[in-house]
Formats: sequence, C-alpha cells, structure tokens
Amino acid sequence: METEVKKPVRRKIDFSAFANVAVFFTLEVLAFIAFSLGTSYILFSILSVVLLVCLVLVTFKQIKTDGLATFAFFLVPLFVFGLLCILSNFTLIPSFVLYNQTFFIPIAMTCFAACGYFVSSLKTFSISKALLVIYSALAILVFINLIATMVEFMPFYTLLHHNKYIYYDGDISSVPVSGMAFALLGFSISEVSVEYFSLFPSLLITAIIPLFFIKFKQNKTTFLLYLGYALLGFFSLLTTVSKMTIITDVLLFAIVLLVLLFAKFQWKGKVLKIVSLVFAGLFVVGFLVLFLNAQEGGVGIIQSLQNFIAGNPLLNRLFNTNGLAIKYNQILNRVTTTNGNGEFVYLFGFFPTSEIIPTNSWLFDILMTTGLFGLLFFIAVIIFGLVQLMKYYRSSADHLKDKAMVVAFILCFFAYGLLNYDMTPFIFSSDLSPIYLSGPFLVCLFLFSYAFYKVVNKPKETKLIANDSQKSEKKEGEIIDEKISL
Amino acid sequence: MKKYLYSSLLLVVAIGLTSCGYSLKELYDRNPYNNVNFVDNYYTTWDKDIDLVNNPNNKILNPDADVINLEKNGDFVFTEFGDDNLRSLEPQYDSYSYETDLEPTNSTTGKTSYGQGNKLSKIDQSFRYGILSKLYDGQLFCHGQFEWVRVQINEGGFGSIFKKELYSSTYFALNFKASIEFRRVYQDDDGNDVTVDIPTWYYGEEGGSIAHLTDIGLTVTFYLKSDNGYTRVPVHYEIQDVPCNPSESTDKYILFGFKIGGKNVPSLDRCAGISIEYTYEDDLLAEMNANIEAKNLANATDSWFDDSPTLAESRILKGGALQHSLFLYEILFPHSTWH
Repeated sequence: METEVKKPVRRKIDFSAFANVAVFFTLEVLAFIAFSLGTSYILFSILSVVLLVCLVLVTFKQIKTDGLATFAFFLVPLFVFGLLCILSNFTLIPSFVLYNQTFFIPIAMTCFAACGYFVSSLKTFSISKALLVIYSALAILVFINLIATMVEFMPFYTLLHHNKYIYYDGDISSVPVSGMAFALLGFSISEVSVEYFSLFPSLLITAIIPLFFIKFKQNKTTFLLYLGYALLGFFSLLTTVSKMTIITDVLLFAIVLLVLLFAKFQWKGKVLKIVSLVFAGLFVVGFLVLFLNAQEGGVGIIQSLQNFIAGNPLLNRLFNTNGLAIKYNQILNRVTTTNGNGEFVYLFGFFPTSEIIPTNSWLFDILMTTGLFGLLFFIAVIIFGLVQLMKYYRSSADHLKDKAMVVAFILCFFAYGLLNYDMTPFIFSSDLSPIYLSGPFLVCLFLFSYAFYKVVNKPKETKLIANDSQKSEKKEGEIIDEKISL
Repeated sequence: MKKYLYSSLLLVVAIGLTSCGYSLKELYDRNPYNNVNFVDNYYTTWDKDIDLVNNPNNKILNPDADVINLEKNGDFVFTEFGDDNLRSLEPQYDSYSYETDLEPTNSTTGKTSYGQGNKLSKIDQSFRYGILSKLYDGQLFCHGQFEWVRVQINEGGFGSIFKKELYSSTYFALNFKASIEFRRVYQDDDGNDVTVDIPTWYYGEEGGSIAHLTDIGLTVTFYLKSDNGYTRVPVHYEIQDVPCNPSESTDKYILFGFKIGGKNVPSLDRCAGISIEYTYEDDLLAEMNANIEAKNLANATDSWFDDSPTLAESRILKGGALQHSLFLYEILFPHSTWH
C-alpha cells in the first residue's frame, strides 16, 4: 500500500486584502498630520515610515514600476532637499526645533509623499474623504486655537491693544499683544505669533470651494460641515485680524476665486497654460530682479538695473524701501557674500542674526536655512509638483470639486507661506521651525503625490477608480455636480 | 435651516463668552517703570482682594491679625548668603554658586546657580507671567540692568495674588538692596531735561559718597487662601546696618529669609499671595532732606558749578524731599510645590 506523502502547502499572505485597513490607517495619519501637533515632527516621521511599509506591502502587486520611475523625479529632489537640510549649518544650532534629530527631515518628507502615491493606487481610497479628513482635522485645530486665544485675550484684541506689551519671565515681551495668539503645540497651549496662528484658519477658509459644487438639499451634512469650517476659519481670522493677515488673505481669496473661475468656465487647455506661464514668468522675473538688485557693489548691467530701480519711485518702493524687500535683500546679498579668498561661505545656509532675520517667506527662509542648493532642490520639487498638479487638474477623472480643492489647498498654502509663514512662531522662545517642518507642508506633499499618481496612471486605471469612487460616493447619497454654481 | 443658524449663533456666543482676557489684565507700554526718578518707578499695585487700605470690599478674613516678630534662632532667620541659618535650611547649600545668577551653572566651578536653580518660574510656569516675574526669574543681582530687572518699592509696598497656592515649602527668601535717590531728572522752564547728580549737589567741590548704612524694618505678609477669602500672616524682622547706595557688589545685597515650619511660622500652606512693606531709619537721608533749602541756596552762588554744563545742571535740586526705596530682585520658596 502506497502512502501518499503530502507536501506542506506554504500559504502566502495576501496583504492586498488589507487594503481597507491601509486606507483607514492613511486617513488617520493624514488627520494627525493635518492637525499639526506642533513639534511632533519625529512622530510624523515614524508614522510615515510605518504607514509606507504597510502601503508597500498592500500595493506591492498592483503598483506599476514605470509610474514609480516618473514619481522618482519628484521624490529624489525631495530627498536630496531633506539631506541638504541635515547638512546645513543652520540645523546645528540648539534653537532649531529638530536639533540633533535632523535625520528625521528627509525621512518624514519622502515617506509621507510616497504614502500619497501608494495609497492612491488603492480603489477604496477616496480623495473626497481624504479632503474631508484634512479639513476636519484643521477645523479642530483652529477651533482649539481660537478658544485658547479668546480665553487669554478677547475678540479684536489685535486692534484694541495695538501697542501694549506683557511681561514674561522677567522681561517685556518682544512683540505687542496684537502680534500674539495662542495655539496648540504638542500637548500644551503656547503663545505663538499671529502669523503662525493665521496659517490654519487661512487654509480652512478654502473650505468654501466645495460649497459651489455640493447642493445643500442633496447632501446636507457635507455641505454644512464645509460651511461650518469656512465660517470657523473666517471668524478666527476676523477676531485676530492684522494688516499682514489681510494682505495674505486677499492673495488667498484671489487664488480661490481663480480656481473657481477655472472650474466655472472649464478652462483646462490653453487658458490654463497661458495663465500658469504668465504667473510663473512674473515670479521668475520678479525674483531675478530682486536678486540682482540686492547685490551690493554690483557693476555693469547690475549697477544700471539698480540705478534704474532706485530712480523710479514705484520700483524703488517695491524692491528697496518696503519692510519685506529690505529683509529679502539682506538674505539675497548674504548668499553671494565671499570671504577674503573669494569663496562663497554661505551657500549651505547660515545662522539668523540680529542683522539678518527670518523673512516670513519660505522662499527666502529656505535660502537662509539650507542655502542656495537647498533652495534649488526645493524649487525643483515645487515645479515638478505644480506641473503634475496642473496636468491632474486638466486630465484627471476626479470630481471637479476635489480637483479644485486639492489645487486650492496647495496653492493657498504656498502663497500664504510666501508672504506670511513665521519661521520663529514661538513668542517666548527663539526656536526656529521652517516651513518644511509644518504639518500642512506634509499634507501638500501627500496631495502632490496623489496628483502624480493620477497623472502617471491615467489610462484605464484612472477611469476605473473614478467610476468606482463615484459609485461608492453615490451609495452614500452624495450628489456632486460637475458644474459649478457661481 | 433655522436650526443650523441657531447652532452657529450659539457657537459664536460660546466663543464670545470664553473671552476672559486673562492675559490682558496686565498690559504695559514699551518701557514701563524705567525712569531715573524714584517716584515714577515705584511698583505700588495691590490686588484688590488683599488691599486693606483702598478697598473696603477686600477678602481679608483677619484684618487685625497680629504681626509675627521673627526670632533669629527660633525661625532660622538669615540676612546674607553666607549666614549659618541659610546653611542649615538649604540642604544643597554647598552645591550652589551664589554669585552666578544669569546662567544655570557657574562655568568655572560647575556649581548650580542658586537663583536659577530655585527660581519660582522654574518650579511653576504660572510665575512666568506679569511684571512681578522679575522677582521669580532667578536673577538675584542688578548686572547694570538697573530698572529693567528690579521691582522698586516705597514704604507702602505692593500686594500680589499668585495664580496658584503653596502646597509645601521649606523656607522663604527675599533678595534686595536699599537705596536713596542718587539722581533726579526734571524739566526746566524750556522743557529741557535737567539731570541732578545727588552726591555732587550735596557735597559740591569737596566731593563725597552717599554710600551709608540704614536700618530696615521689613514686613512680609503671606495670604493663605480659604473658601471665604484670605487669612493674613504678617511677619516682621528688623535688619540693622543695611548697605544703602553701596558700590555694586554681591555682598551688598540682603538675602533675607526664614524657616517655614519654625517657631513662629509653623506653616504657610495654601499661601496664594504676598505683600511686602517696610520702614526705615536713615540718618544721612534725614540730614540731606533737612538741608535741601540751604544746599540749593549755597549752590546757587557757588562758582564751582560753573565749570561745566554738567556741573551747572547739578546745582539745584527740585522736586521735594529725597526718597528712600528698596530694590527687590528675587522672591524664593526653594524646594516648594504649588497647586
């Protein structure tokens, strides 16, 4: 009698079955980061790594390698930028928030960006829900910050107590109370600058965009949530109003209006290209003129340019004599300063001093913190990201509402940061916390990566996912018009 | 829709109601209490709950409380850094640096700064707020920062309520120095500032110093909180021969303190406020004030004051009698806990 020897069957674990769990985990991490728990960057990093491992295991079989190769064009400069952050002199000073732990910078940025890419390949992931999670987390943060600020101060204190100061730890505060607010940082409430406080309600106010797409009668809950978020953001900004916040929010309002106009008139082709090129051109030319104008002891054409600007009252005001331009010029001039041997000594960043102070602009503060090369890689990341974002807006099968929200969130964040992001947000501490350590920046990287995936994997798959997501959303009764009601 | 409108309005009202303005109760201009003239620098604020003089609705439960006269031995009273009573009260006496007060440790000896190690703002964050945080920041000495770092009081003193209550403590300490007016600024008829250097005005060509000794009767009142209000615990101690207007040196400061749990002050549990007042006996000041008119008269015709514009400005003293003041630098409850 023959005995049949059974070979042991090795059961393979099919991680793709855990897709729902992975999506849920992603939304949780997204909420946590959007909630922006102050100086929890190390926690963000660890969560991003764990989440990425989970997502790689779950999406291992279905992810396309050619798409990944294209995504690497975004991810590699981001990683290099993170490395340059570590190498910068700037991160060696104890007042830097991540002093001695700077190796977390490239890890958090690249891993969380990669998470955005990988999770997009899962059919159960819905950008609509992800955006709701992001805005909900932001709203909770804004609400806590608003209550904390109102408990300590009062509505419109920024107007009522303009030149009044408080004592702290034996010394008069360096800024008046009109420049202070309270915010949740980590697990405690602390005094922060109004500029830092206003970032979150300014972003929250972009929750007005979905209100133009969702019909109240057909989806009351979502409509009211976004309406509540937008009102909360508005109320928060109103009660802590300041001159700089008004200027920045006018810019954000213009961006939101532009996004809505694009959606209304379905401008996706030539108009989008032309407007993008015009803005990009203005930005590049403006920066170039500012850079050349800032160089002390310029000769030839640079000198002629400087004389021309100095001779024109309007240009002189724009490039030389306003508070912002003075701060920008100091940094631009420092970057090209050489030592006695003619060597550039500040190319890898430099310490802020009493003469060279942070500018409240990510463009110039990154030049200070990571130097010229750091800025170049950061700009490369932003350009790659924006190009893909425009392609995503033009060609993705996502709902117009979601596309408009993704675009508006990213543009508004970088626009706000260009004018009003305070790198020294703590009133009674000189700790430095650049934009790349902020929660909303990581959220933007996530959204950039999402857009990347949608562009790179456009044929067939995007339609499939779009159809599925539409179905799943319709099940929940959410009816969204592709037409905008302005 | 109305339901949602009402909910939103309710939220706005709720946020409005939270507007307590806790941090707006003490607001200052850019340079408060930063004047050469003593009279403009006195911190004389009394919290209304403990103000017996100006507020009839104060919350003091025992307004006529007997003053406790501290005993040098029974209450372990100390009046200088090297006092034996401080050595016996402070378990880590030898591990502290008493001259270092701006940095946490003495860079030469490696010893912990006494002020920075025991400052109240380190023990509890609530002491970091308000102008009296100058008294809780660990800086024991002037370091040429003059009005910026001291709280200057006259005999009427000040009274302040803490945000928290004392739960346990070992001893109390107060670091201060004494001074009479050494400079005075007033405006002449044209509105220009005239600075009078007091020693020059008083001693003229002969020259002289106003460094002298004064006797101080210090009264520190602690306010113990209860459900109905505050119970006063006033303690008093006479300190003889306090250096007044001395040259700047750490040994010219008075570190006054006593044991909590000693013979006369068994406990200060639930202490939630403090007031400091003092009296003085100062022979030199009395003499100078008695001679103001005569000195002004003599200086008016003294040609020595014509030698330079600076001297000319020191010729006449206006603005009344010279004043006496205590410069307070630090209040300490070492090793205490607060709730």
